[in-house]
Amino acid sequence: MSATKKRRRTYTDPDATRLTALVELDYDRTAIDELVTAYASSAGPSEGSASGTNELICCPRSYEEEFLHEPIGNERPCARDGNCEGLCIQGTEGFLLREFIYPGASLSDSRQLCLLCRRLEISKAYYKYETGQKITKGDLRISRHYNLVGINGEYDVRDCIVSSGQYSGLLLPVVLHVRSAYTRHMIDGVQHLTQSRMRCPGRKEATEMGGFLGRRAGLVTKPVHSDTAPEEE
Amino acid sequence: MWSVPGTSDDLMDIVATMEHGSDLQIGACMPAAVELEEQCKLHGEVDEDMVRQVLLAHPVYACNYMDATSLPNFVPKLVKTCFAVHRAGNRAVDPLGHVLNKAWPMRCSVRNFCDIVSGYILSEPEIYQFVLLVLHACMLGVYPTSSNPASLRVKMILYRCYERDRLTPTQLAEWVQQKNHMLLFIAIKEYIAYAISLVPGLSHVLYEAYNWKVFVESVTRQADSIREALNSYNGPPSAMFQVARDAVSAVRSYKCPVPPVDYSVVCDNLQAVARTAYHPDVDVYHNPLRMPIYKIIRPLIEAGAPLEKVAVAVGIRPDIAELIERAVRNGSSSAEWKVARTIKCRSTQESLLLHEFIQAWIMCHRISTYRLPPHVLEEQRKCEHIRGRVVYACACCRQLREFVVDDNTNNNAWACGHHKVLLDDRTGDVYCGKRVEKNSVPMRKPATDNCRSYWKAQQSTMCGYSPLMHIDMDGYVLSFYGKLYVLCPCCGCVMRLHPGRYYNKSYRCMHCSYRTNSDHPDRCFHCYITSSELQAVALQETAVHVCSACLRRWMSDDSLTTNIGEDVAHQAINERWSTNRVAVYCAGI
Repeated sequence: MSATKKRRRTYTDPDATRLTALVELDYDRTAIDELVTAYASSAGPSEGSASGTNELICCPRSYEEEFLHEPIGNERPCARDGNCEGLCIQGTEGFLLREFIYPGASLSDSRQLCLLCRRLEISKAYYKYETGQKITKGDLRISRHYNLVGINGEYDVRDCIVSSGQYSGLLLPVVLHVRSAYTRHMIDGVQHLTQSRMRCPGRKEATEMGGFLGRRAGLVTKPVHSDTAPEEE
Repeated sequence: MWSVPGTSDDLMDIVATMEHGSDLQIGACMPAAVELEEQCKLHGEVDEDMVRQVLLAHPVYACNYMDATSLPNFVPKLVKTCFAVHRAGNRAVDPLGHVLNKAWPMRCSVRNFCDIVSGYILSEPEIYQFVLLVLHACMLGVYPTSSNPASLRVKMILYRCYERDRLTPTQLAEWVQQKNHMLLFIAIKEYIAYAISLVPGLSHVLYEAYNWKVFVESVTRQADSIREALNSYNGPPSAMFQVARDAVSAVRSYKCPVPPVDYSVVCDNLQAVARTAYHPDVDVYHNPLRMPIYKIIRPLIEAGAPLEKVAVAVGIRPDIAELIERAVRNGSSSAEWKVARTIKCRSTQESLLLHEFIQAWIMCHRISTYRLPPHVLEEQRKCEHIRGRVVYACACCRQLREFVVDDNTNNNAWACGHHKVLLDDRTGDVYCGKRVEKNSVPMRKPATDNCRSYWKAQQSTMCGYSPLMHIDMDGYVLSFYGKLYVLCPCCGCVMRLHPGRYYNKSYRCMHCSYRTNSDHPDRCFHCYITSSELQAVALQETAVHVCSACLRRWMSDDSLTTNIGEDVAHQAINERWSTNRVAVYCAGI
């Protein structure tokens, strides 16, 4: 009985022997090396690795909000002119925003995008990769800046986009541009946008549902509404 | 024309507003106007006192007006549950996501919609409110694309139906069951179209990859026909929805195509091809080739070599390699995949090589590391456990062999080392220590077996034979089969990275988040679960609270506990030290 058991344990299938030999098959390493060399040279230098080491710029909420108004004095308008996202704000007549300059950066010769257009471009790239398109260029980043989340006076991560399942170019959160998240106000004769429908940790507001939730904020039992700017309330 | 008999000045104002006011003004007066109608039915006419009472109970507020911005923002839910069709699993755990998913443009979505929604309306208050809201919004025509907004009469009926005397969950569920689910179906679709339009980055991608324009146009047309039918209806309100229902023409099936470059779908298809190519009659699980093949092809794939050349380089038959390459290149094109599924291997060796090559190719595309931003790296450098940290991953069961900290892993807060790793002390190689259940051990081909289940069974047993992957995590974020992992910059544990974990300039694992948050004194000091039944234990330097699951017998002996620090206490809980062992430890101090 025990001998049978032992024999069964040590029995080796002839096919299995052949399969074991397959593991030891030697691939044509020279051919593979040649392929790697050929494709690596045709692909050119990897931009991804360079972008991966660049410092990301931190943009606090208060800094960003300084750019949400129409250009005054020597400020320049958004590089998109008539296609600026500032003109497409939902529920109000929009206006052309001033260009957005990163903290610490100096004014460049060419005009830059405004904050909303910049957010729009980042979200386009983000959703492109989120739909399943794979990032092929190493550590490609789709944004040069990131936003602070979870601390008082900054943004809520629920209003931001960031890679979660697969890497889609955003390792740190960036605010998602939603056309109904802003309201227009006139301050000292200058048109301003307020991110009134974006959540703000530490600030008690009726924006718990965020995004384009304005007044009645569906699924909230008690309706909340104001026709006035947050500052005036 | 709307009127209520009476002579009050306030009443005259309301009548004038209802007749000539803007949408906002009419909406603001709606509750008062409907209440005045009710009073009129009871008393024949309304006097000044009645009007005053009505206005006190139903003040004229702009918030009474419903427009598109009154709707909730479920775009993140849409993206999570609907946008990526391959991400299954969300539907089952998230009822609202499930309902939105059913209305997302895809084939066969109407099937069971009625039963599913009715069930949710009864069990999920959130769904009940959402359904009322989107039906109301759709029938009013609040969306910017709506071309037939509701007339005043219809508005008042809808207000009664959805606000004043709103249907109870039971009534609403019954109403949906009475063949009204098509109205709800279109209402949700119209909401989806509107919600997406507010996020231009998302709608841009949808328009390009998913033919979204056709969907939006068809939904708007259907919703307009509903509103037109409601506006032209003159009968009793009870039969109004039936007329609307009849106005809905057959909803054209619209399939939301999978984007041609969706690598998750491509990987799944490739695996299916490999698993139907041949059915060996011997076990092959002791020959996992994927790791050596992976090491060979990774540089090739990173250099951008096409699948066909890579496959031929490792010994796949050129005709098979060509068919696979053509299918992968054409993405989701079903015709090419149909051809690829006809691939047949000639021998066990050939099929094993193909299967393992496909697995290695999938590994190359689904396992990647990405460099962390410099400021996060700097933060990590301050943690002593991180430098040179390597994690082990099994290429067969697709699991990280680590104590990964996630939202539901409070029991490994203090776990050290690697999880289920076997060390071959002769070669120094490490293997996956996944426990293989007896019933999953592959047997010789039974009569009912098929190719797919054969390969699945073989793969589930391969773990113990395939060396683990070594992945350098120091300074990197790891993308591993659709999940992101990173080392916590505070404690150095391997954590799952998802949006909820971001904090300030970087991120924190669940345990570090709790540690920094002092708002939770009712948490167990070891597993961090919140509990109302915590027991205080006096340790060497501090008193801590322990939940019943982490409570050990030695904790009742103050002469022992006052001799040990927090770190030792965690170790003793984890390793289930007996009272004697704690006593020996204390004696040795």
